[in-house]
Amino acid sequence: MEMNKKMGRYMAAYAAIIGILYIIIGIAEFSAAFWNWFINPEGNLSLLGLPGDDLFGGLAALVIGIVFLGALPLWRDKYESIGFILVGALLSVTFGTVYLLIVFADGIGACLSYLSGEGWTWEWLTAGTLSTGIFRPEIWLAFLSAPLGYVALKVVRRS
Amino acid sequence: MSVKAREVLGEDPEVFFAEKRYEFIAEILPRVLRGAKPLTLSDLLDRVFLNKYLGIPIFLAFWWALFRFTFDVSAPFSDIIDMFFSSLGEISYSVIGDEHIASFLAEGIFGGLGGVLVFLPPIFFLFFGLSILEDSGYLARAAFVVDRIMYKLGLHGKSFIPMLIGFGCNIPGVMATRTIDSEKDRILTILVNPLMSCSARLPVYVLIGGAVLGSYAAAGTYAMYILGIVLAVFVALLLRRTIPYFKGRPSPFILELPMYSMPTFKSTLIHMWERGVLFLKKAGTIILAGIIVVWFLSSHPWGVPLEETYLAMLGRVLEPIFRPLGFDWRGAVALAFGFIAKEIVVGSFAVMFGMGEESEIGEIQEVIRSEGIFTPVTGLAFMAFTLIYIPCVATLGVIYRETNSWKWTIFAVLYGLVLAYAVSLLIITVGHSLGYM
Repeated sequence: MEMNKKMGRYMAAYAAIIGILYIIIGIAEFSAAFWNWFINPEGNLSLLGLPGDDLFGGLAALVIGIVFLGALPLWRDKYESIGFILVGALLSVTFGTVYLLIVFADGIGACLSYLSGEGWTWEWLTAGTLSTGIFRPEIWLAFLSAPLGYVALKVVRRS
Repeated sequence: MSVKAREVLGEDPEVFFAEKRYEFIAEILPRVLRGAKPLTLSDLLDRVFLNKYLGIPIFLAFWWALFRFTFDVSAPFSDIIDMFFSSLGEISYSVIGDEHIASFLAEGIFGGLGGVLVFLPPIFFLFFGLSILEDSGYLARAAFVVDRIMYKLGLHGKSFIPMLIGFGCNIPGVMATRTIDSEKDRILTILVNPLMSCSARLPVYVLIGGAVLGSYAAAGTYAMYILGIVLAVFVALLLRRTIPYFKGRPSPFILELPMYSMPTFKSTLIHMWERGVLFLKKAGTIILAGIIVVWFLSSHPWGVPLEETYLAMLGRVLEPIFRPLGFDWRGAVALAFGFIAKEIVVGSFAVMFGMGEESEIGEIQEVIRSEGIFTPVTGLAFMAFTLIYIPCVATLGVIYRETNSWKWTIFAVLYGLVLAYAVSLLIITVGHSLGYM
């Protein structure tokens, strides 16, 4: 896979879309958690249906978004910015995997509760530790950013 | 000799030789290579990981992912261990006729030890994640990124690695300071190393955080790790500015960054086991012995209520000291025994509550909540106290061996106690003034 101007522009545009999505999610999660932690501890604010208690998760999403936006100079043929896509995708996949593992861990917890006599529930899949279960957007954004990371890695290895 | 070499060369010998080495490389390269040097994968990654503005946020993001992996993913495995020890406790009571021996086994051994061993999964998960970061070559980059700040704040760049190791256990962390050439930089790093939250403190955070912080438990634990780093930097800066022995700039940090590599599952597992097994060994020796002592004191005179046991007597002597922090005699006793090994803090609660028969961690947390032993604010203060106060006996031994000085060893104990008290009191004061209980 060779790097050319067209490819650079595609990658920059894709990274920008993912970056903006991460920034929106990060701001929503961070502001809701900040509100719930420090301004109105009694409240349970949630923006865009995202968890309202994950302050650091929101900050992490914000960082991932900014890292992806660092790849924008690829639009102007600045090849060295491809590193931002690699690191952004790495962070994105790391968080996606960790969140997915948390959902699985919740599932194992539900199985253990069932074995010890409690009734079966599917709540772990849609709520659980992450509040949103598998609907946590960072999980799905990891699936979107992984192909971009893969393409970037291929380009770097060929160059 | 080092001083003489510095005088002759006009700068630190290590820096001088590093500069000469790279000057030589820079001279040779254009003769053997033509054209612009192609950007490698390592170069491209380093542009981001070592970025002036993004380097530290990226490091913190990875750290947060590691924490969620450590606590949330390991939780069901802890539940399995919990269930196992609960069953053993129940079997002890049903099989052994003598109530005294049954209590010793169920509440002393299985209750106390089970209460500690449930933290085996998070500890192994933490080391698994740390091994991936280390084997991939990223951790060295993190050291490089943090060095910029550390140097400005008066710590040596090489202090970062011992401090990172301190997150696992302060003993190898203190021993790793041997890589620092300057004696004063080395002693300074040794003194602040116990502020790095070792894996032994983790069970306390998980227990107390889970009991009183609810869904903020992981964030509370993360905050403890960050607090440890902030305090280490603050103490280093303070000591550098106030104690004449430490005055002056730290010596420069030279680090050759390793190549990035894909960590293999086998090597990661081996590294995880090598570090995690220390916890297992400790659990079978010093922690077990400490828990038996706690059980004896909490069960004797035999047959009296907990409030009239030797343990309660000891706790009541200590209680007035901790009252301003909102800790009752049970918290005071747990902290006192935590001096032997921090894990005993958790085991002490399990034994004190007589949870041997049903020593599930959730039930210990339920007792903490229902009896109002800690509120969210006092719980956070207790976590901070556990983080900061005197290192365990074994770490103190290593501090003495490495500094070869009773003066610095006693100083480490005293400043830890004073700082722990001050920070906990600050948490209580600020928390209450913000309207939290």
